[in-house]
Amino acid sequence: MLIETSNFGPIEYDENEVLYFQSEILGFEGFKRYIIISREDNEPFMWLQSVDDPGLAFVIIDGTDVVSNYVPEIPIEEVENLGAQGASSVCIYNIVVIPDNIEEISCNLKAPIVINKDNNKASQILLDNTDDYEIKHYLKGDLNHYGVEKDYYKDCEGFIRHVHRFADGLAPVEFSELKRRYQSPSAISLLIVDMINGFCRTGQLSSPRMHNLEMPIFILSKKLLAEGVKNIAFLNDSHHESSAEFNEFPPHAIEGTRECEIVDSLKGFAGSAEVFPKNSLNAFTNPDFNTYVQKLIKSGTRCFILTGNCTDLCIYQTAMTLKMFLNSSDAPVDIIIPYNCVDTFDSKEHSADLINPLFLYHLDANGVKIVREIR
Amino acid sequence: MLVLTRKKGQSIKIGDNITITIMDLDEDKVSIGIAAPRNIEIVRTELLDVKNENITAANNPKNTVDSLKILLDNHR
Repeated sequence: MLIETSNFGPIEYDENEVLYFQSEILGFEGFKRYIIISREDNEPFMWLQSVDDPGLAFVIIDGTDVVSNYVPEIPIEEVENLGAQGASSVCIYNIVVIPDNIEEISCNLKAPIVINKDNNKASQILLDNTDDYEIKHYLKGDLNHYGVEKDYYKDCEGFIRHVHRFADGLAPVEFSELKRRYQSPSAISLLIVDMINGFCRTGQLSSPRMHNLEMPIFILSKKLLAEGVKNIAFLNDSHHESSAEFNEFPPHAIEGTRECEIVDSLKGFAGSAEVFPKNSLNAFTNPDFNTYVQKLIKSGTRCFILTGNCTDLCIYQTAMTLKMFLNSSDAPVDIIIPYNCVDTFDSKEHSADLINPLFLYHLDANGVKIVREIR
Repeated sequence: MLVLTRKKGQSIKIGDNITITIMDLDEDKVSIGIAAPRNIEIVRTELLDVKNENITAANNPKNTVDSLKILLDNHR
C-alpha cells in the first residue's frame, strides 16, 4: 500500500502495520487508522502517521524507554478494550509537542497511546496514575541521559565484537604438542564436569547444548586414554532434597536419581576414573577433590584439561578456584579448556552465544588457556 | 463560583434540562450522575487538556524531521 504524507512524501506500508484506534486520539475523532514511521536519524522519536489524512502526523516517543521512573498504570478496562492478554503484549507511546524553540520539546505522559501488538488495536488512554505525570513533560534532561546510554550501548557493542573475535580466533592444539610441552601423557589430567543426565538429557536444567557436548568430550576422552593419560575425574552435581542451591536454581540432580548419573556415552570411562560428587557449583567444596588435586600435582601433573558444563557456572567456578589454588602455591601447572568441550544453556535471559565466549574470555585474562579443540 | 453542599442522593438542577445527582461518595472520590440533552457535550476536564495538547502536537513545525535530527545531535 502507498500513502502520500506531508512530512515524508510517498510511504510504502503493509496492511498488517496499520493500527486501528478504538478510542480515537482526542480532538481527531474520525481518524482511526495510523501507521508508525521510524527513521534512524530521529531515534528515539517516531511518527504516528494517519493513513487517511496525509497532513495528520504526530511525533511520538516511548516514554517508558526514555523518561526515567515513568511507570504508566493502564486502567484494566482499557486493557480489556484492546483485547490485550496482559502488560507484555502492549506497548506505550507518548505524543510529543515540538514548539518553535525545540529545546522546550515536551511529551504527554498523562495520556499515552497504548497499542496491543497482538492485534494492532490502539487507544489514547488516560492513566490510572495520571496525577503522577505531566501533560507537558519537558524532555531535554531525558534526552541528555538517553544520549549517554546510547553511547554506552555502542561502546558495549564494540566490546562484544571483541569477545567474539577472541572466540573465533582460538587456535586448535595437537595432543602431540601437549605431550612435548608437558613431557609425558601422565603429566596430563582430564576433568569432566557435570556431564550427567540432569544437564544433558532429562530434568528441569537439561539443555540440548549440553547434550551436544557428549560427542566431543567422548572423542577427547577416548583419545587421551589411548595416548596414555591416566587420570580422569568426573565432578558431578549431587544434591539432596533441601540443598541450599535450590534457592537459586530449580531442584536438579538429586542423589540416587537418574539425573545424577553420568550420561551413557561417557559412562564407559567412569570405570577408570575418579568420581567426585558436589553439592555446589564448585567442586573444591568437596574436600576429597581438593586432596585429589594436591595428590595429582605432587605426583607430577603439569596440565589439567577441563571440560563439561556450564561455562559460566561450574566450569568457571572450578577453573578459577583451581587457578587460584595453583597460583597461591606457585605450582607450574596449566589449565586448558577446549572451546568445543564446554558450553552453557540458552534462554531469553541467558544468551549462551554471549555468555559462553565472555566467561572464557575472562578465564583467558586470568591465565587459563583456551584452545579451539585438542586434536 | 457558586459552592453548594450536597449529600449522597441529592441533586442540583442547572437550567430546565440539566440535573446533576451525587450518586456515591468515597474517601477522595465522588460519582456524579448527569441527566442532560444529547446535544450537550460532557467531558472530563483533564480530557479537554489532553485534546488541546493533541491539537498542538498535530501542528508541529514543517521541518520537524530535520530539527529533531539537530536536537538529537546536540544531545550526543
